[in-house]
Amino acid sequence: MKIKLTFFICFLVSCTLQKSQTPEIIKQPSSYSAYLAQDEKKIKFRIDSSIVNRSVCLMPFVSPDSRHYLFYLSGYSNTICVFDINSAILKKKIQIQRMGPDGVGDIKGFEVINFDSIYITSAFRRKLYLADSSAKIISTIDYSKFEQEYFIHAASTKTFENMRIGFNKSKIYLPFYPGYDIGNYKSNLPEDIRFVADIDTLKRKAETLNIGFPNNYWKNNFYPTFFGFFIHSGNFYVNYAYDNLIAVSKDSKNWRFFEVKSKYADVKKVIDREKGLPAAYSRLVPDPYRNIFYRFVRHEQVNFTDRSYTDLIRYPHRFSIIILDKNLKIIGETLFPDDTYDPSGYFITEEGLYLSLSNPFNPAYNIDFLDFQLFNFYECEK
Amino acid sequence: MNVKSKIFLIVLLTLYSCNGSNNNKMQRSKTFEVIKHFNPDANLSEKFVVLVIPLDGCKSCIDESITLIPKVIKTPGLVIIPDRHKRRIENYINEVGIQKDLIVFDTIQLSFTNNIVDINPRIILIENEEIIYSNEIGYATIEEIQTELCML
Repeated sequence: MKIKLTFFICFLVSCTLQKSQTPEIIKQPSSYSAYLAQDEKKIKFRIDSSIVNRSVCLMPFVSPDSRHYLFYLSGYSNTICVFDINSAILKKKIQIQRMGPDGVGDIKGFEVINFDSIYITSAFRRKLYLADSSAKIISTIDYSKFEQEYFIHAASTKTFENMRIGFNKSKIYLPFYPGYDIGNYKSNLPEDIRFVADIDTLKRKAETLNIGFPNNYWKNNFYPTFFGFFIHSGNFYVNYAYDNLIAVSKDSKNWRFFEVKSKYADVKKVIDREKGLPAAYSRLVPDPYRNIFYRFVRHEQVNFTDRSYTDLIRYPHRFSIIILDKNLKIIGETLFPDDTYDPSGYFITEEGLYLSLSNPFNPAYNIDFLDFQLFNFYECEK
Repeated sequence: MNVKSKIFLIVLLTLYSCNGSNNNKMQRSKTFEVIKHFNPDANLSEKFVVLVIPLDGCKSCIDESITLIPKVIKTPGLVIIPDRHKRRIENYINEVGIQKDLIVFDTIQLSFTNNIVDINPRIILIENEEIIYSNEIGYATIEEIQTELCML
């Protein structure tokens, strides 16, 4: 009898565990009601010879006097440009030092709190810097010295994948790439990998959020570790670049999974590196003004003999944007014209979604300008 | 092993070795195509060196590569920096103090599309129209590369 009871309890536990790992599948509508459409408005910033019209980190900021600015990391440099969006003028360059007392190494990304509070992540240093608008480092959090069971690599906060620092009560949440050694990955299961640090600066402790990659994330010798992370309206979001799932949590401990699949691209299809680049969900981005989300979809690219692998990653030939409501239900997917926009050059204002036109494969490309096109969100009546 | 099996094995080995040498020929041809594109007068029947420095490679590898530039130019040779953004190349060489006229700006990324370089810097030594040495540049390989360059 005791043995039968033990088996019954084990059976119940096993069913419960399986249930928590099954993604909650939102029934997606068969037809979509929303789309993005090009507005007449463009913004054209003239840039000088020291600025590259490509960025992995750009974000809008509204000052207390209601002026709209765009903070923009130029190319792969340590220069943060501040553009006035209203007048389309470069207002300031913040030249962050690499070495010295105000040195951060190579900038990986930044997060603007206000003009004189800019958090900076470094490419190789396991530190989080806080700088002011004169590039002076006000404070440094050296989490390499914090107690940690799981090795916290150098963090990343940038808009390219939308991996963003999060602040919640007294904690700082730092997304990081979990190392680059494929040898490590092969000896670990993807669901055991951790990539968001939970930093407690008072206790000087760095834990990790209990979220990994989906259990089928790696296959056919393809070991991607790309993801996005941010906190929005108190909820934690994880975007998986090579899976249809999005993970969401209200408390960073209990996670729900939503399947959000593109109707144009298959991110589960693996392609040989020699042939090209597979499709991926490049980023998930909240739009706080319209209470929706955008999931960018890079489509598969094969047999481009005149483009390098870097070109395919940075300037995808074709992409679409899935539009989601506040509950991550798909309400639309807009396909964009080939070789026109740089989808990693985006920012969102109360007017809408801006996308960069500074794509070297766009015939109108000009290195002296940083061009953006405004897109409006429309929802058809049901 | 009977006669048929021996013949089969010999044919297999021959095919394998031809395939290997075809790959080498293809790579040589692609490398020469890149050189001739940027320097049509390059004399590859004597000694020639190609140094390719992608700016997204490992930082220390790039730093090591720069130290080779004077020797590469003197041999003679080409120093190629492939990047879509001309400004990025300009800003970089200004920052590290390299003369602009020593560098070939590969903004069409021919070095990548012809597979003569991956993500890290690479050096290719040519003599008598053959590639006699090719290696990625890094902390572990720099001494070997400097030796090869001296012997060229």
